[in-house]
Amino acid sequence: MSLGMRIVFFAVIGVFAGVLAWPFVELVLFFQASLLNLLLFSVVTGMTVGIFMAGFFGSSEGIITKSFQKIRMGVLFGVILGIIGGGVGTIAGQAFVLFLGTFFFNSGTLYKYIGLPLSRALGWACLGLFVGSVEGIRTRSFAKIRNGLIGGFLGGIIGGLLFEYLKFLFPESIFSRLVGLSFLGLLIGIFYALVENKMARATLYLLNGKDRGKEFLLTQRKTDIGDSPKTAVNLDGYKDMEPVHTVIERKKDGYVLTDAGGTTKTLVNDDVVKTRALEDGDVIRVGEAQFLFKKK
Amino acid sequence: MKLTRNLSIILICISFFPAAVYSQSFVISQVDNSSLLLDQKINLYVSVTDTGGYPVEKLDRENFTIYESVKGGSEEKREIIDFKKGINRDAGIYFCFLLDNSGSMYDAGNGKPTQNDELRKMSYARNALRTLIKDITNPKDRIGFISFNIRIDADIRPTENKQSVLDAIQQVDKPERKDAYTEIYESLYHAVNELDVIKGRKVIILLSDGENYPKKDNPNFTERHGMKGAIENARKVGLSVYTIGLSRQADRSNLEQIASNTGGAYYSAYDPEELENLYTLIRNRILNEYLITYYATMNPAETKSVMALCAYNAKTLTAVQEYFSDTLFGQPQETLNLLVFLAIAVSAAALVILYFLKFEKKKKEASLEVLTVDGRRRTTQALTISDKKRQITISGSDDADLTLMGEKNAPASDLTIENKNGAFTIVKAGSGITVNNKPVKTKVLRSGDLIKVGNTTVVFDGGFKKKSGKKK
Repeated sequence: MSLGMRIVFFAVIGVFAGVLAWPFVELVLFFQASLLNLLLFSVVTGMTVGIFMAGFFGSSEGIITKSFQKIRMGVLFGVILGIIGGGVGTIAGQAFVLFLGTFFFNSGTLYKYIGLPLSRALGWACLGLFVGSVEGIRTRSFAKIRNGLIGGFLGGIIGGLLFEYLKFLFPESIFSRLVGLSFLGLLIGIFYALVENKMARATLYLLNGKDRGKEFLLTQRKTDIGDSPKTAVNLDGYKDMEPVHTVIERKKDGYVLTDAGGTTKTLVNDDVVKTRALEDGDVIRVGEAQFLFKKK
Repeated sequence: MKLTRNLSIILICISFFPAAVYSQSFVISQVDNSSLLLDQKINLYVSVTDTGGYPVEKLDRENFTIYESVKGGSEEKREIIDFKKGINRDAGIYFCFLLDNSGSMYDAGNGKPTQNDELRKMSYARNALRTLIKDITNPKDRIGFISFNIRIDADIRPTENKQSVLDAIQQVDKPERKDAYTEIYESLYHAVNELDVIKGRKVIILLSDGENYPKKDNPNFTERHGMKGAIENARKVGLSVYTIGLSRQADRSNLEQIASNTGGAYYSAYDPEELENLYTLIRNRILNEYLITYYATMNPAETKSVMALCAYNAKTLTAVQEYFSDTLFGQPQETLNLLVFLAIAVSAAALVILYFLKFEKKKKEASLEVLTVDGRRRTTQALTISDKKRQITISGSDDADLTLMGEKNAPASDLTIENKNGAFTIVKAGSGITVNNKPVKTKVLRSGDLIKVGNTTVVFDGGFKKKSGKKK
């Protein structure tokens, strides 16, 4: 998948993450009066958002690689982390909304058009930070956490503002919250793909076979390649590939490839290698798969 | 300490008795929702004063009843879970001095014109203001200043800079004849609105000779609220208006009315001793508060209304305040529209479609593709090789099977690949051609090999058979 496609794909995933979370949020809000207190209510709404949004994002890598097992694992861990992230994020966001909203409510004039939207935006941004970082925590990548934080923050600001102003423009409409949540997801998705795109200093471009044209971003400190679903670059349908075949590490002065020691070796520019510093344009052969290593 | 306080109260009692007119008052001065999220508690700061104008200190939780409601909903009684007395003794107060600067203020106290500045009402007003401001010693206090005639002609928002207010008071000038009207009520209404945006305990001190002399169709005050409107506005905001009269005989009654209806008090500027104690009295009245704590309801609402009742002296006083109670995701729909659940199906469908969409090209046949080294669109030219084709030529020439656009005039760009039953071999290669970054003349190609011809990169893909996709 090209980087452009990746952005579109994550944008779509993000929008539908918001769409899926929406009805459940409406349901919890509708039963607000039945919940014991504001804290419990915040935890329940937050977990609802976290479960569906982080779960949806968790399925993304599995959908790209058509690996059902990856989807299952991604969704499972996405949901678990989403429960925590959404719950904590919503408590923090709710605190923001209450504090800022009360401040603007008490100071009168600016409340409706600036104060409340601003409080909402910052509250949602707070939630966005937590929900956005879940994917990075799940894949144990600092770069992804950082990207998720940026995307989640901006998504929260824009989604929160949209929700608030749509509410003013169309007070009868039931869809303003849907639009807000979808934009939160959309921007988490877009910024996630976009920022990641910018931050990846090197990529592996798959040259052959069934997934040809797919581009893997070397954003993590350690990127392993193999046919086990646990690997970061997980290929299915290529012969002679070990579960964990090769590891590429990001070092201070570049990327270093190390063969993981299986029966089939790793080749760089047709030479069998054990460990080797990679250079731009190197051709890496892992089993039957052949990659082009590209530096930015 | 206590002795001096009591003594001062006694002194106040003696000196005020003939002049002061009060009504009982009950005010919610603050609704504190800061612990709402943590433990669902709302703290109310309330103050009660008696007909003597003094804080009522003996009340207990039995005297109070709390109700909470949302817009359009019914009042729900709340249990008081905590009750404290004598709260907030050293909190700050916002004072707003509202000074009448009309023509009549430059007459003498008996209403007669005078050229002697010291005898003018304005001089007494200035002296009274200086005395009051001098007394304001709590560093948390803030003072503001507004003067008015036909319009608001000076307006200093509450500040900690006493000197700027004192300067402004000194600079108040006699208005021209055409401006010498007195818009007391509209100016008071304006001052209340200005203080409304400030959170905290606040008070207005109005200095006037009491004569309201409005101009007809005054463009500065197009809306007319009158005394009644001004009093209602002050009550709504929950602030007391203390009035200081500059006239012994004239319109004292309206100043007394304003004071008594807003929980304030009336004083005469000609009794400097009264004024000396006014600050202490206001502090005692405003800051002798009760703290009432209750659990908020969970009814969804952007803002909630608290109504407190205080049963005292065979009377029930009522005070109402609102507080912000919105949640992160806003307010629920009034009736849950079932349409929203369609979104589950829509997103589930989207997930399924995404799963079956092919993001990667899955060509089964072998192919050669020209790869641009930089730029987004990686594949610019592609040639699919059918099994029947025995020999493939690549070069900058137009006759070649795959013409390399970038290598038009490169003589050594010729490359010939032979196909023997699906095994592809480079049989002829121009100089400088590399495969996987190694110079070659001939080579058996493997799927994924990267062929460089001059500046052009061509990728050979041997294709794949569906069966080979199965795991070992």
